[in-house]
Amino acid sequence: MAGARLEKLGTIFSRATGLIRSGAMKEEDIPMWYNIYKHFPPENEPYFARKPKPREIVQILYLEDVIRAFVTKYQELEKSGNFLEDQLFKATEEALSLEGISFDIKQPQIKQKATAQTRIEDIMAESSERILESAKSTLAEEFQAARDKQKSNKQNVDSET
Amino acid sequence: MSGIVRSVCIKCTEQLLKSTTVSNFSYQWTSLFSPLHRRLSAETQLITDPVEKHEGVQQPVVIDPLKHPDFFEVHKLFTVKDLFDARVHLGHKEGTLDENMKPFIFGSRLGNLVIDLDQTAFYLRQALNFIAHIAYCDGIILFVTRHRQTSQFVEKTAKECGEFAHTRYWRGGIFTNANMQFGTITRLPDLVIFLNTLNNVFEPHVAVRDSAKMLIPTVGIVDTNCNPNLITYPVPGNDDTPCAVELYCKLFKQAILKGKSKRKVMEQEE
Repeated sequence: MAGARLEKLGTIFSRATGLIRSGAMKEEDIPMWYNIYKHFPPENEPYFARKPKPREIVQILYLEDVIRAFVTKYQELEKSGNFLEDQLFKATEEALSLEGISFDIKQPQIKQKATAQTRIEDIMAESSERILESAKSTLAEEFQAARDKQKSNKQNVDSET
Repeated sequence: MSGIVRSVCIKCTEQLLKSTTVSNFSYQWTSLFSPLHRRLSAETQLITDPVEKHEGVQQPVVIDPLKHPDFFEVHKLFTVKDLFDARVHLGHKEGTLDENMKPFIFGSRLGNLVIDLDQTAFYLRQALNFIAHIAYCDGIILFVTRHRQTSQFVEKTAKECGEFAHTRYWRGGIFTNANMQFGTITRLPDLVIFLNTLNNVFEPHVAVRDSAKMLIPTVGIVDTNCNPNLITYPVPGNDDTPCAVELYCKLFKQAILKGKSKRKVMEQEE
C-alpha cells in the first residue's frame, strides 16, 4: 500500500483514512483498530512533530524545608568552629540571609530582648506565612532548651566522673 | 524466530488474508491452527441480547460495544492510590527529562521528577479500554520490553493471557520485512504494548517507529526520559520499578481477559 510507512507524517489514523478514501485500502482490508480508534480517539493525537504545551516544572517544597535549611546551616557553622555558642544562632541567620532567606524571629517574652525586625521574604504563599511565623518563634525557644539540656548533661557527666 | 514466544500467526494462502467474513474460512482451518485461531474482521461484533419482551413478543436488543463509553468497566480495575502504592509517580532526574513529557510532570522534588497521577489514571483508562476492545475483536497483542529486570515477568504475563511477547534483541525487519524474516506470509500484531519504550542504550525502541510505519496502534508506558509522540495511547508512569511493572502487567492482563470473556459470551449466545 502506497504512502503508509511515513511515520513522521500525520498519525496512523490519518494515513489509514487517506488510504481508505483514495481506494488503496479496500473495505475488507480496514484494520480492526480503525473503528475502535474512531470511537475512542486518544487524548493527544500521536503525530511525530507534536509540540507539547509549554509548562514549567514546579519545585515541590514544604514548610519544613526552611527549617531544614536553618538546621543544616547551623550544623555547618558549628562544625567549622569559627563561632562561639552564643553567636551561632545569629550567625546562621546572617548566613541564610545572604542566600536569600530571612527570618522574623520573635524572642519569647521572658527574655525581654530587643528583636531585629526583618521582613520575611517568603517563597511560599501568604496563607502559610502565619504558620511559618509561629514555627519560627518556637524555634528560638527549642534551641535554647536544647543547648541548656546539653550543658546540664555535660555538667552531670562531669560531676559523675 | 528467536525471542518470539508462540510466534506470529501464519496464514495458508494470501486469500485468507483478504477474506474477513467469519463463516467462510474460519472453521476450515481452525483444526490446523486451533490455538492460534483469530478472526480478521474489522466489522463491529454486535451482541444480540434476546432478553426484552415487548407485548409478549421477544425482540432481540442489539448492543454495540463501541457505543458504550466503558463497555468493559475498565475504570474499576484500579485507583490512583494503587498507582501511588506501586510507585508509578516516580520519575527520573530533571536532567534526563524529555521535552514532550513536560505536560505530564507534577513537579520536581530536589531534582527528582514526580509524574502527575491524575493524568496517568486518565491515560491508563483510555489505554485499558482500547486494549479490551482489541482483545474483544480477537486481535493479536504483542508485549515488548527491553528492560531486563522485568522481561521475564512480562513474558509470563503474555503467556497467562494467551498473547505474545518479544523481550529480546529486535532484529531490523521484524515488522517492516516480516515475510522475509519469518520465511512465510505473516500476520502482524493488531496492538503492541510497550512496558518500556527504550532499549538497552536508552534510545527509543525500534518497534515504536516500526509500529507507526506499519499502521499498528501502540500502548506504551512512557517514563520521564521517553518520547511519547509516536505512541498512540501513551501512559505516563514509572517503567523501571518492578512493582510498577507488575501493576501494569496485571491491569493489561485483566483488560485482555475481560475482552476475551465478553467475546466468549457473545459467541455462546449466537
